[in-house]
Amino acid sequence: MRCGFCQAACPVYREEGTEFSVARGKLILIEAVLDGRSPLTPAVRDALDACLLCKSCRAACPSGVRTDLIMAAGREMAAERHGLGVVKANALAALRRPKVLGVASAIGARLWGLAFAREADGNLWRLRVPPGNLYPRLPALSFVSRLARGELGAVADPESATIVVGRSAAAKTVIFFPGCLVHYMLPEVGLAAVKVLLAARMGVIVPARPTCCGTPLYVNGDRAGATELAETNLAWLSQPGVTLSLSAGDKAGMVLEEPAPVVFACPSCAESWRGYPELVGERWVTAAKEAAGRVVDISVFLSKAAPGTFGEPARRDEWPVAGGPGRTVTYHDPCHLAQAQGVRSEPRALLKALPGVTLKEMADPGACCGSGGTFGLFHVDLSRRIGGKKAKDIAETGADTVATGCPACLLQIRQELHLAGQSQVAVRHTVELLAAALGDE
Amino acid sequence: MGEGKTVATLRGLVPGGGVFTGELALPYAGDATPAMGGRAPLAVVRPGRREDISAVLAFCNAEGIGVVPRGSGTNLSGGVTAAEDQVVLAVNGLSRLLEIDEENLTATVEPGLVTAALHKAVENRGLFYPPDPGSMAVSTLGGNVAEGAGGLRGLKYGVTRDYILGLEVVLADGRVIRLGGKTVKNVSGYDLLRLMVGSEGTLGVVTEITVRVVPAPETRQAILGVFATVDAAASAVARVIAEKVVPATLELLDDVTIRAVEDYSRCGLPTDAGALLLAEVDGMVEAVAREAERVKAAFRAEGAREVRAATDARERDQIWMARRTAVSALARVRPTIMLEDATVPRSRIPEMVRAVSGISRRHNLPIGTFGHAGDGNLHPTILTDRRDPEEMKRAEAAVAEIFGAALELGGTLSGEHGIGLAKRPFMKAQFGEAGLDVHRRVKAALDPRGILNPGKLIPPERVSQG
Repeated sequence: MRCGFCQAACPVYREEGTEFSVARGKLILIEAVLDGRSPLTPAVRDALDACLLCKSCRAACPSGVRTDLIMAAGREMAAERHGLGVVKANALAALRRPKVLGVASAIGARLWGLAFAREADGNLWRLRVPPGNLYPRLPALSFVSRLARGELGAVADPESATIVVGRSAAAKTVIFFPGCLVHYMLPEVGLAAVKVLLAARMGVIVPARPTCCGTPLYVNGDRAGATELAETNLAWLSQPGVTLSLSAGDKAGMVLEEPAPVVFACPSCAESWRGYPELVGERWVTAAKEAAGRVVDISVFLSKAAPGTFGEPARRDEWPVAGGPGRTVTYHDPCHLAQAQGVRSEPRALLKALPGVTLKEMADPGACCGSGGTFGLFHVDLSRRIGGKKAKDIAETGADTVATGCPACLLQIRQELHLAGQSQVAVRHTVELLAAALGDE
Repeated sequence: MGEGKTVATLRGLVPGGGVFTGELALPYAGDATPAMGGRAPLAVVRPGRREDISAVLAFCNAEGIGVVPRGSGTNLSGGVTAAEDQVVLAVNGLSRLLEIDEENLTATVEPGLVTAALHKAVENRGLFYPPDPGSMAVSTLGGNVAEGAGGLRGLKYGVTRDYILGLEVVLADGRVIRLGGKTVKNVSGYDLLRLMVGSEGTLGVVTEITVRVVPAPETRQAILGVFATVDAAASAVARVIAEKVVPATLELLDDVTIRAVEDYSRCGLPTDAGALLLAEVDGMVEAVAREAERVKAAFRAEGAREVRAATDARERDQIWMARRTAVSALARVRPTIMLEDATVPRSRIPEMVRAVSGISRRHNLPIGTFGHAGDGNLHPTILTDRRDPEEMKRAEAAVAEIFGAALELGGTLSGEHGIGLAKRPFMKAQFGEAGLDVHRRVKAALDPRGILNPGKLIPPERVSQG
């Protein structure tokens, strides 16, 4: 059945209006290449590439077609036959080696001032950066480096390659997986996440050397590379020190009786982990399924596992809230959180419960921001058109803050608001606002 | 003229628009009809300006190149499939809402505007555009006009045809005519306006549409009736009509359809029911309350196991949204679905339902039946697998029998999906030789070179069969 209902869901189709820009057409192209009716021309590759992988089409498909998997397979086919292209290949290779990426981002932080102090006005390699772009500065210290320095009372446990935060006061333990964007570019989001988890009386385990979840490789057609990263993550997770032990009296002083939830502040990473069972090799499948079952978005976790902690009137006394001025917050639904995981109400409930916060909905909160991970780097114009609408919708609410649950959306929206002359609107991850309400931001 | 030169000329004719060829044209070969469209058309032309459509048609007419006008490509009868030597004219780039005229109760739009977008826009002004084809979230108004699209609210409000007041049409040779306007009454000349509605892109290309809108109903109430058998539900439909209640919508879903829809939508349909009736009454608050009671009473009188009303707007919208996905949801059950659209006078619905279940048994084929029972427009859907040639033979025989049954009961081949390619072979059975001859003469008069959506709607003279 090719009903074409995906047209109503697809952010790219909404801009382009062509059959090959929407899932139905892309699936036709993939099918034609596979059965040999069509060669894999540059035009076909471009068409397959112009997809945000936002999974909106999958969520909207009444026939239950797993469009996201087929698209990834199509890109894998394209990458196998033609390679990834120089820029993508190098960037993705770096993701496979955390050390290289760590060094690169450290150097990047130093050189940032030289290279990007002024707004870029020419070509950044082949990324076709248009004038006026706001590229976020890489912070000097990553999320994990800051924890390793003891922020929030974190303690390193080299044996299990973990960093542990939280003392014996913790009722339960969770694993927090930061993901590359949070780790390298938005450490403040990671710290806020840990902070609110601590406030919810959770002990927090963080990987000491975070490994990429694999999504950037997978969506660009490097399935083997993604598999390798997935297995690395699962290997880390299944160490006794991470998943099984940490009994009372341990140096971190935490009890871990049941497998701890794996909490994410990046919905794309969470989606990636959920897909591990279909990605990894035979001997990892059981571990992958078990891990996938433990994946939870931080907003859902806070709402379910720690009900009442965040602003429920009855327990307000336990939520040390700073006063401060009232804020009007509008919330953007990340595709991988709302479309892929169906999470819409939890973050809103958390925000609404914050004292002094008024939640004001924008016109179409579920409309994609146009980031799409690496999509925004390679489809600058299209990404800009999609993001421009988002900025307009945000500006029209008159809100002083935009909250969202995804680091990629956060960076994209920050840039789009900047381009729209709306830099005064603050863009924050939901957990940053929760952490701010704790009082010492 | 060679292919390369043709494409180059087309590019020159649509400045600011798009012309796509080769692989990129491939997704335009077919529509939503299963198993149609395998090879890329010569080119896809997607104009950004209305006047470019005239230029493209004039050129193609002069060169004798077939043109397939296309909106969102949701057609279910092969109506916008395109062959290798044809040009697809994608009008979905022309999608502005030009005007909502609250004094004259009209809206004027470009053909590429999505139906649901018009709904939203007029509803914001307290107005209502009733035609609501199942694909309204993506279908275009231009496509709705070309197909004479129906929908769920046909029972009380009629179909697209009943709301078209004015059209601007580009003829095959590129000339532009305007038909009708904003007036409710208009008997000047032949009723060419109605000729164009439902002409499936074979007589002209619509470039501007003026529709009638009505004041939005004050309130709506959705009612769900659960029945043990499709027969009982069909009798309940007849009883509602006999009670002189005209719901806006009265939809039937059989057990196969209920389960497929629930599997997708999770909106709480009873999956153990033999059949469901979904009704909606709308209008003034007092009238809706009374009509809702009469519908419920009619359901109970025919043995409904359970009758309940939607508690709020959200639940109501969820139910209708789920119902609109029935076709696509049925595609979950088996690889190939053959969706039919045969329509009978509403009083014959119980007979039609029995005929379909007989056909299903005789050919040993699962047939999901759902549709607009209230207006006689059912969608018996054969669930099959095109990789099994023997089963496909049985399916084709079953389709022919479904059409036969509909015609015998005083019905028609298609209520709202159109003839396209899929139902062409049965046109003679409905119209006879004389009726087909009139079709051919009309076509020849308006499109003498036969460039507009070639081969659709009218069977070629040799192949037409009874």
